[in-house]
Amino acid sequence: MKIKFLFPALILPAVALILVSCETTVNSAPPVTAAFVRAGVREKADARTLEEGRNVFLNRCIACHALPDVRHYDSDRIPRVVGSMAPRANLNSEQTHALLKYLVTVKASAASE
Amino acid sequence: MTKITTILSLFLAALCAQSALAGSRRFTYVYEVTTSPPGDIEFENWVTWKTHKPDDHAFDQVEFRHELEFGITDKFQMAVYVADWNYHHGMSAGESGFTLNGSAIELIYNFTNPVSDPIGLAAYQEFKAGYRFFESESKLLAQKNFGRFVVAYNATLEAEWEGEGLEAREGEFQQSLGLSYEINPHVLVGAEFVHEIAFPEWSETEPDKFFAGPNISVRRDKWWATMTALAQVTREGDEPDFQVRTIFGFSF
Repeated sequence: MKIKFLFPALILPAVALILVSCETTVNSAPPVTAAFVRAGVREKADARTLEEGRNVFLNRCIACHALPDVRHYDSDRIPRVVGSMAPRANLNSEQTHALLKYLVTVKASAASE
Repeated sequence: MTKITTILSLFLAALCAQSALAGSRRFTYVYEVTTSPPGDIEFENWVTWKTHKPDDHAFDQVEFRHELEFGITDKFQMAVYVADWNYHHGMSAGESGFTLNGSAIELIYNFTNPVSDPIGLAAYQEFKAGYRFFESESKLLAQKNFGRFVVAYNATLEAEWEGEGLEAREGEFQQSLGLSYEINPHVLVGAEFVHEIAFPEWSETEPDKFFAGPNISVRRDKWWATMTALAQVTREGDEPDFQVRTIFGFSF
């Protein structure tokens, strides 16, 4: 393998690795921990529903966008946004409900920290 | 028509298409690891304008792809490229006119998630066939999402057979990198980089080619369009110095 070829062949993944190591994780989907489930109980959501909601977000929503900063959303906005987005992500009613519960719990969990 | 006017015309043509957010792309030269939701059918149109080669300043080529994409499961999607065709002009393009290049089928399978797993990975396979032409293209797709910031990398190995009896062979290794930042859910900006090495008859190595440029992706309620402009950083005579690709689509 020529040196001339080796350098450019490695530079692109090296750039990606540098950028990966420099960035911090923000707006990622919080995992369903014990503390998260406790916040979900207040929102009338159980662990299974929250896991389902997180999976819906990870498998459907992230294809287009990051997790919105729902901490600053008022109580009406989350259901409105989920309602408008669900058809575009081909969500059924169960998935839509789970996603809604997950997002309101993200907001509640952030508020309690 | 000036180059700026041509670019704006291509992008405005893309904006006019009705489309939905499902399956929207951040990049045009780099594939992401996420797949279309099951049951989703999306129609995407690609327009790529290539112009000005160091060895042929009059070169102009506009390439078109029309893709039907089907979400099969949460991890698997299939696409059919109904027709790849182009209009070409210039000394290196041979006789000016239209050429139908063929049709293709594409399969993408997602292995890991770019948010919840350390790195998102997917496999891509495309088979393309036309008149005296067959191509197999395999890619490893990698991606990591850091909130609004997305990094995607593709490693591609391409094998072509063409001519009478498909006797002429060529290989190509390509790697591409895409960076995208979500300003808001409707506008994303970023950059793309492409590095290519061709292997004629699998026995020689042509000089490396490197391209880089910015991109922008715009999504509204019913449509999305993504545009990338690449400039050739190297000075390979038979490669376009400048190219612009726009992809726009809509879901049924």
